[in-house]
Amino acid sequence: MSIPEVEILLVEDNHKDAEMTIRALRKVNLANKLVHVEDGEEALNFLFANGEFEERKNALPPRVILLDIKMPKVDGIEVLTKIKNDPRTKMIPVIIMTSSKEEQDIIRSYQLGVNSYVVKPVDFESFAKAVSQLGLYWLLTNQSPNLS
Amino acid sequence: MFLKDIPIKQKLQRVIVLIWSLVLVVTCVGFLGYEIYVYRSETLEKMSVVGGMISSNSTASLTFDNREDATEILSALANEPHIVQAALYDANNNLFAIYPQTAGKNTFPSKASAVKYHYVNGHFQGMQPVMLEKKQIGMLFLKFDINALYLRLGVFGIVVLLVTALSWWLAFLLSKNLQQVISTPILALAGAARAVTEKRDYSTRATKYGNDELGYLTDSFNKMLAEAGEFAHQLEEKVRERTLQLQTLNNELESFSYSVSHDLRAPLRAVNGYATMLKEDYGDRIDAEGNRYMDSIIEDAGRMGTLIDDLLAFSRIGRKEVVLQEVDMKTLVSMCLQEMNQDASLARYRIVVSDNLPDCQGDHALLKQVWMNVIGNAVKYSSKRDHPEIYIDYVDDPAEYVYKISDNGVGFDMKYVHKLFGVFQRLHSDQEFEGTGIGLALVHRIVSKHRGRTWAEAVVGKGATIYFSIPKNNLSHEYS
Repeated sequence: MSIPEVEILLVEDNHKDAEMTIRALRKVNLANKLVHVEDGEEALNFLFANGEFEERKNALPPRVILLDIKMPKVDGIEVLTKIKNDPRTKMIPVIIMTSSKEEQDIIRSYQLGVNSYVVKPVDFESFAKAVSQLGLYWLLTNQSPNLS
Repeated sequence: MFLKDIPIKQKLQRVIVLIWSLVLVVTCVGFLGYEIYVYRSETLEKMSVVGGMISSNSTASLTFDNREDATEILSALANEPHIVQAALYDANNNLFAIYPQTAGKNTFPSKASAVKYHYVNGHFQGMQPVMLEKKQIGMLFLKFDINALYLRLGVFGIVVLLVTALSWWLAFLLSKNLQQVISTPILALAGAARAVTEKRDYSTRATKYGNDELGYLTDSFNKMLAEAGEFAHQLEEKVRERTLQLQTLNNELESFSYSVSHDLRAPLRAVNGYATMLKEDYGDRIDAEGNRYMDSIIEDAGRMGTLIDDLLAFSRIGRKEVVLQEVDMKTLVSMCLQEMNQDASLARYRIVVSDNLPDCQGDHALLKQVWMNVIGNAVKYSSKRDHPEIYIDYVDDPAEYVYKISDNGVGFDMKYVHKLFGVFQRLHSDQEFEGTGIGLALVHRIVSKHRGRTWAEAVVGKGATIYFSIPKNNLSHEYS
């Protein structure tokens, strides 16, 4: 059984934000190979093929990670730290998508090596536009190293 | 006074030595005067005794005109080395006999005349009558050498000099040690005072050396120090306490605004998002009134988002530190105008910026926010004019840089000018002009942080002028 290829890993605890994100990505046809996990712990399990994601041992890493900061259990900053400190995952582009405009969060994320930091707009139209632009840019425009 | 600026140690030493020298000089002069007086009296007395003796011995020689006898009597004076010359004169005042015989006759007065003993060319000399039975039968001349006096005075002088030098030296040594009795406690006091003023160390204490006035002064000084130290300590405690309170408050505020920015915006986004999704997916199945309701939900959720953003910006600026630098206000204004022109064309507006807009000391980013807000305000409230005009200028003032922004917009009623710079205070309805009421409040807050002032003038329907000022001597202030 072949392991399905994953293009986008969406790490988001808020179901409604997740739904709106997926909807926006679907509109530009980028939601087909998307996996949604609901907290940091699950995200790390997915990336490092632990627990329920054990069968992903030999799978290709996702092409881009959309990461929320404020999440229960393991938060986004911690996930980002682990991703950027592990040779297996450090080259995956990570985009922080958060409601926080706090300077400290932005600085901390960039110090850890985030590839992009996006503040989710309240207005849905702006939100949808931001998400679809992000998806298009990171999956189509941007050239990432071949991780296979 | 010549002693005014030298250290107290030397001052005391010099005073002691000076007084000592003065006493010594006065004493020496007194003794010298006395010595001269005594020698003179002694000499005179001796001369009259010797003179008396020779007179009575020579009466017979004079009476019988025996010159040899007279000469012999005079030669007995060899036993008196101080008497260098003597002579007898007869009743007719002619020279009768001389001593010493080796001396030339012309070295004696040729005629006798009674003269009291007096000082002549380093000698005492004088004549006294030779009497026999109350009748003057001749005169005796005596000449007394006073080199002996000079010798005596010379010896005296040398002794005085030696004594002076010795006592001077002793006085110096003694004063060097004795002045410490006074100078040590004073120096200890001065040292303690310096330690306190330089290091702000209130635990310093001056050492007490005795129970005199200086001891009392030292005690008072130490007591004052203890009190000052106690006050300083209390003050520090209070400041520490307050700082802690402020920090706690600040942290609370920070976490509050953090959760506001995150937790309030998420549901708002859901309201806005789901209403939009509903409209997109089911809009064609809902009638016009239903669509209008949905639009209202979407619009107001968006508005609330802006409100939250503005409020957060306001609180963030409150916490931001002012970083002072030279700000080129003219460049800053044109930068703001360019930026605003990108968002919405300002081509319709006649905007005049004064060429002489002065630079000031301020925080570049914060002052940019000020200009963005005041110019944005002018643009907004004059937007309904056919020919909107905005003037950016300054007012001359000795203490402050005063900047003014005038427009020919709707203006406002001066009755409400006190509300203009308040948070969430608006003088126009949302239907007239959109806004959250944060813009000028932010301006006021930033300008206040620069220790400047904000004020405004307006005429309803004619336009408004907003003023803000930045102090000229801003560098000397400390900012929180």
